[in-house]
Parts: sequence; C-alpha cells; structure tokens
Amino acid sequence: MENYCFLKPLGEGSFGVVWKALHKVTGEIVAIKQLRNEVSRLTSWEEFLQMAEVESLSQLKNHPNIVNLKQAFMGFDGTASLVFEFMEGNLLQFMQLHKKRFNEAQIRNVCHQILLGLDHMHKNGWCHRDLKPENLLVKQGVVKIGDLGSAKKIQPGIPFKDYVTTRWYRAPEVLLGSRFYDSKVDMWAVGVILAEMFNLRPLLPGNNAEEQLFWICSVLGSPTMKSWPEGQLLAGRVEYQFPQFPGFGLSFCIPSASESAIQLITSLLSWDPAKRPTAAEALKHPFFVGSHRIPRAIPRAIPERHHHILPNIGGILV
Amino acid sequence: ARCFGSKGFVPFTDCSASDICWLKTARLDSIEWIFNTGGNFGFQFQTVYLSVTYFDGFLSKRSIDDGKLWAIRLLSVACLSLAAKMEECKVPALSEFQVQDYNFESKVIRRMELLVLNTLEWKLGSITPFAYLHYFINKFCAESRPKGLFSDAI
Repeated sequence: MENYCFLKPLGEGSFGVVWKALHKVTGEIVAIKQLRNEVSRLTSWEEFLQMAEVESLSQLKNHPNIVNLKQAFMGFDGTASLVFEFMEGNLLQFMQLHKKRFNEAQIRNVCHQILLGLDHMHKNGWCHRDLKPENLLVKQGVVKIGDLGSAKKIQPGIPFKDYVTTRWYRAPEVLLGSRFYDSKVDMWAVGVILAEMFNLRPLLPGNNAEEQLFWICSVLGSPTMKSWPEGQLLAGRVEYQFPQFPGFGLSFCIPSASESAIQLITSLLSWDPAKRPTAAEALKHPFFVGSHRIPRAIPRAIPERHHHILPNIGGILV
Repeated sequence: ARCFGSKGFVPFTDCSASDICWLKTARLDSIEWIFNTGGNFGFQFQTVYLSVTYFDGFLSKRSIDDGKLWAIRLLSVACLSLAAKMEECKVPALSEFQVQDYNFESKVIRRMELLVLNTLEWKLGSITPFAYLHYFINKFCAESRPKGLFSDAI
C-alpha cells in the first residue's frame, strides 16, 4: 500500500471511500476502494478472500467489460483496500454531462458491452444484484461493470437472504420479497438502464417499495394471473394488492426508441423473471443484429489471408 | 443435384479448429440460402453454382472471422447477385435480396460486390462443368437424345 500516493477522493458511500491514486514506482493511475472496517469486519485472510467483491472479481478475471481488480490488501485493523484500474467516470455522470439525447447507435454500443460483461458473470455463476448507472464505469468508449460488492454466487436451491439493488432498478420479485430470485434481476436492471439512456432520466423513480411497484404497474400495466402467476402468490404472501392499471406502455414512455429497442426493453421488463431473456439471448436480439453493425470500411473488416488457402474444389464437386 | 453436402467438403485446412467449425456451418447456411433464394428468383442451376464458386474463391483469399455473421450474409448476397448478372437475362434489384436478421441497403451490397470483384481479380467467367455438359451429351448420345438428360445430369 505504501507504494501508492493517494491523490483525491473520487466518491464515498456506505461501503467506504474510493480514491484516485498513483503508483509511485510505475506511475500508473489507479482507483483504490477502501472499505470501512464496520463493513468489511475481517478477522482472517480467508474471510478477506471470500468477500464477494474479491472472490467474484478474482474468478471473473480479464473480461473487457468487467472492472479489473489489480491488487487487494488487508490491513491489520480488518480493513480492506481494493486496487482497480482507473476509469474516467460512470454511466450516470456520462448521461448527466450529455446534454442532448444519445443516438441509438451509442445506446446500442453501451448496452451491448454491458450485456457481454453480464453474460460472462452469469455464465460463471455470479449475479451482480446491484446494476445501476453509477456502477457502470466508462473509459474511452469502453463500459465495464463495476462495484461487485453485492455480487453473489448463484447456488441452485439456496435462497438469497438479502434485499438488493437500488430501488429504481429493483425487479418486482425482489420488491415483493421473493427469496428465490436469480440472475434475471440483473436483466430487469438492464431494461431499466436501457430506457434511462433513451430518456436521460430514470424510468421508474419510486420513493419507496410500494411506490416503486406503483410505477411499474403504471408503465407496464398490472400483472395478471396469466402474465405472472408466481407474482400473485408473492403478493398474497405479503398481503399486497397490485393497483389495477392498463399501463401507459413502453413506446409511450420511451418515445425516442426504435421498434426493436422497445421490443428488447419489453422483454427485459417482463413481470415474470422466466420470460426475461438471459444476457446471451438478449445479445441475439434484432436490436443488436441489424444492418447498423456493418462497419463503413468493409474490406478492413474482412482482411486478406496471410497464407492463401485453396478451397478444395474436388470436395465441393463430389 | 445437392452436391454441396458437408461430407465431401474439407476446404480450409490451416485455420484454427473453432474457426473452421464456425465457417463450415456458416458456409453451409449460406449455400442453403443461395439455393433457396436462387430457386425463388427462378435462376438457372449454373447461376447458383457459380455463386458458390465465387463464395469459396472469396473465402480462400480473405478471412471472415468468427462471429461476423453480417459479413457471411452480405457475401452470400453479393455472390448471388454477381452470378445473376453474369448468367441471367433478368436480374432482380438489389433490394429484392432478403436475408435473415439483416436488412442490407443496396449501397452496402454494391460495396460488397466490388470487394468480391477485386478479390477475385474480376475473373468472374469461371468455367464450370455446366459448360461441357451439352457437349458431352451431344457426343455420347448423338443419335438418340433423350429429353431431360441434361437436367438429370445436374
């Protein structure tokens, strides 16, 4: 740790402080996240290695769309310091700085990167559980999923205990207290974030859990026995009654989005988690595979072979 | 007539294994599309055949790496439209070539056609076995020319 010179605090939260720091020997700029010891409360090295953020990031190494953990230190007092690559900012700041609307190609690019990172996490059995614009870090056009402090290993049959994600991005099953939610809560969050990138303001800004469900119903329309059978059970268990709304509809709420974007957001914001696509499925959505992904310089995208190979004409003829 | 099955086809010998696998599947997919589309347009069989030789000729000189599905689809369209221009009397407009998943603008197809032409060094008049078929049929069955032999042969 003494190799780092702390330059300035970048942000503060309930977890602790994030610093911009300089490595005195290499000159590299990094971000160091210092966790408050009430948060980390570490008593052993094993505990440190098992911290969600440390364990998940060490298993998810080297994906271009997941923030890179360079080093991790544990202090004698039980504090933990995590050294990350330095990123310029997060998606929230990026959206706030951007005065005019993003065009759809920019949104598609950001969303594509988020889904690639998320696909990698989910395939490795990790669920992020706190996706929001603040946790999506940006550097020179690259988007990386950050803050894996709430991440959890998905173990089938073992319920998650805690109430997660920032409210505006929280999936309805979590709002209703389901303990058997899965990685589809991240997919819900992606849908809300995608809508926010179009509108440059939050889609579902509820002030408390009940208001949050009220917002969701008013936009999507209330869930029915048919659209989400499990939801009726969950609501019954906590004695909640969905307000009855036909719903404004997503194309009304996100007027600047194209038809295929609306289709994708609609499927991501399915009441029933089972109906939401996985990250891999979402990546195959027509929103991502239209003519827009054809680069302007076609010859550069299809390079000449270094060693010419001959197609086996005899084989083709048979 | 379906002589493009996967069995007899061992073309790209010095690429990595996964690359070959992807390319093989993508190629078979494209050939199927070329056959179906050519059939729908009512093209002659040699037009379809010629597009596949352009397709293979192109891939022997340029590489399309894993995942560039758009490039494979665009190549299929460009090859079929070029072959049609070589062989057919009536050539459909570029906007009539429809592929799955993509919606190529005509100018994009034209750019790809040009890349195919340059890659093949503008040698589009490939001699295919079809050029000899009539000759051999005449030679072997000079007297009795059973109708339909030509189409049986292909």
